[in-house]
Amino acid sequence: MIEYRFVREKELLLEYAAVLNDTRALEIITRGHIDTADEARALGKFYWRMVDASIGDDIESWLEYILTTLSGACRNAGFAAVWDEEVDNA
Amino acid sequence: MEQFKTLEDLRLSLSKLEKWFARPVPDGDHPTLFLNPIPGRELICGIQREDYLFSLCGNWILPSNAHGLSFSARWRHLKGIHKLKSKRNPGKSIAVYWILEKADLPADLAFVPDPRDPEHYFLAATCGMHVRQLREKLIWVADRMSVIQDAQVAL
Repeated sequence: MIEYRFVREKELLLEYAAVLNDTRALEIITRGHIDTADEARALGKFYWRMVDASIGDDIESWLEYILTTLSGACRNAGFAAVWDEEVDNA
Repeated sequence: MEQFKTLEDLRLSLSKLEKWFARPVPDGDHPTLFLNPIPGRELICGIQREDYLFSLCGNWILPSNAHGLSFSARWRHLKGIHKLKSKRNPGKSIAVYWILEKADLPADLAFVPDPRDPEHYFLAATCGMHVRQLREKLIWVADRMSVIQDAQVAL
C-alpha cells in the first residue's frame, strides 16, 4: 500500500503521470498499491522522469516527501532491490 | 574534513560508522534550517510548515512521532535523496551532513523511525515548545553534525 504523509504528494504524482502520459504509473498510483516487481520498476522509472521533467518547478520538498513515500512502499511490498536499481539508473 | 569523489567513496565512509542519521545538503544551504524563501512553501523561523506539527497560530510546535526534519538512516535511502538533490541543483556540490545515533540531542528532540520506511527517520519534537526554541535546538544539532564534502563537483 502506498501510504502518503500529505494529500499533495498523490496530487502531484497524478498530475505528472498525466503530463508525461504514463498510463501505467497513473494506474498504480490510482490503485494505491504495488503488486509486482514490474510495477515497482515502472513506478521508479516514472518517479525519476518526473524529477527530470519538473526542473524549474518549485517542488523539490514535495519530491523529497514523495521519494520516501514510494521507496517505503516498494520496500514494504518486497521490491526494495528494484527501487534501488532505478535509483542507480536515474 | 572528509571528501568523496564518487557515491561509492561516500558509501564506504559511512559504512565505517556506527548507526548514523544523515542529510544531503546543497552547497550553501544550512543542514537543518531553510534560510532562504522557497516559492510555494511556508517557512516559519526557517522551518518548513509541513515538517513539524504547528499550532494553528504557527507559534508553537506540538509533539508528534509522525513529524520532524527528515533524515536518512540507511545508505539506500540516502543515495536516493542525494541523487534527487544532485538533479535539482545542477552544478552545486551536495555535502552529506551526519550525526551518530548515540550523539547527545537537545532536550525534547529525538530520532524516531518513520513507520512507513525503516530507512527514514524524523527528528521529532517529543514535547511542546515555541517555534523559536525548536529553531535554536535545530541549530544546536547542526553545529554538532559532521560533514563529508562532495569533491567531484567542487573540484
